Amino acid sequence: MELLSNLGIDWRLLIAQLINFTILLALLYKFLYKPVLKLLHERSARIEEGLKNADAVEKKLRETGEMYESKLRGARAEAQKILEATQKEAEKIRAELAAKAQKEAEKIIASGRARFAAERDQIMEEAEDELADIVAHATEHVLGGVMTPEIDKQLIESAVKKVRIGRA
Amino acid sequence: MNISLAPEALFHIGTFPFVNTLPMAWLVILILVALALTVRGKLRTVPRGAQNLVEALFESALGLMDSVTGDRKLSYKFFPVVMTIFLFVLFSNLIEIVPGLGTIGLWEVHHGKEVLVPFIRSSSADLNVTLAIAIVSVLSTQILGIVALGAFKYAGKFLVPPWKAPYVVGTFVGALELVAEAAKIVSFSFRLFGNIFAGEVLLTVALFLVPYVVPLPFLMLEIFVGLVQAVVFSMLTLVFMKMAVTSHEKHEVAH
Repeated sequence: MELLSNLGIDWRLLIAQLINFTILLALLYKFLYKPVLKLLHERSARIEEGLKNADAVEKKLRETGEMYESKLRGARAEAQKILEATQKEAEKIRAELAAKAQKEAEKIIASGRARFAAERDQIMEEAEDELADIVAHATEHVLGGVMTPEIDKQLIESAVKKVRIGRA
Repeated sequence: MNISLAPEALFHIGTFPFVNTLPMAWLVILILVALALTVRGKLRTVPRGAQNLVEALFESALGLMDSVTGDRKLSYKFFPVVMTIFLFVLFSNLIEIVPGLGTIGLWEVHHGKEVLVPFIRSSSADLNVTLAIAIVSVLSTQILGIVALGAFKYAGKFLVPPWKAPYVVGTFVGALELVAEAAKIVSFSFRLFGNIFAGEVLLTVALFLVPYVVPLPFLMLEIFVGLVQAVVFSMLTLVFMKMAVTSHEKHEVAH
């Protein structure tokens, strides 16, 4: 005990200093360590989160780019397909139309020919009749009264027949 | 010139000696708490001014502590005690470089002799203060050890039955460690007290012999010693805490 008091150790002072230090510890803990450490922790958490978010955004961006690219590729292929189909369709329609026009034209030509032939026949017939009359009249004039109309008619008819046969 | 191992009493309240280190300790506490309140009042996510300083100190301290504990969670747990010891010891130590050391005081009559009782005496140059810090350090180490390992397992570090694994050697080592725990209080308190008290004596004597220029290098030396002692005290506390929360089994596996 003598040694302790020589060194200046006094239990009352010791307790006083213990209390002092404990109070300081408590105050610093409450007013300095806790808020500052919390702040540091929050900040580092926030930075970490920010970095994570940045990574996520980058990934998303890349994914979006890839998706855009693939969609674009798909759209191009689709467009190509549609274009080809349309071309084929157009080709088909064109061919059909051409065929139809050809047929129509042929039909028109055929009908024209038929009518022409019919008219020609009719004209020929009429001309033959008229010719027969003209010949009859002319023969009457030449032969005078020798001929009876019956003979005359017979002659003409036979002549006409001959002509027809000859032409045929 | 009067050099006293014990802090000098400025006056007595009853029988309670109001020693000069008491207001010094209060002053240190006041300064630290005032700083804490100033910083706390202006805390913001984007730091500014003093907050930068505090954050830099805390961050580097935590980094240093991580290198000892190897675990940020443990560092957070030890941080309050270790940091408070560092700050209090540092500021206490630096009191000795304040001008007026050993020269400004009350003249009092002791044992028929008129002696100067200085107002300024580093609170680290008082064994009561260093002992108090040492007790807090060692006690909190024990508490952390018990909390981390459980009372039974923690006691098992010191009380090893002689019929178990390392047998009598283990028992002996355990007993030695128990003594070492008590010795920590003594080594902690006397190391700090010795360094700072010696520094004060050195500065007082230097000032007494050659008042100009010559004490300057000693002042710088004492700033350095004050910082080193603060680091030593807090780092030793940290190391002891780490040892306390590490169980013996793990320790042996690690080797």
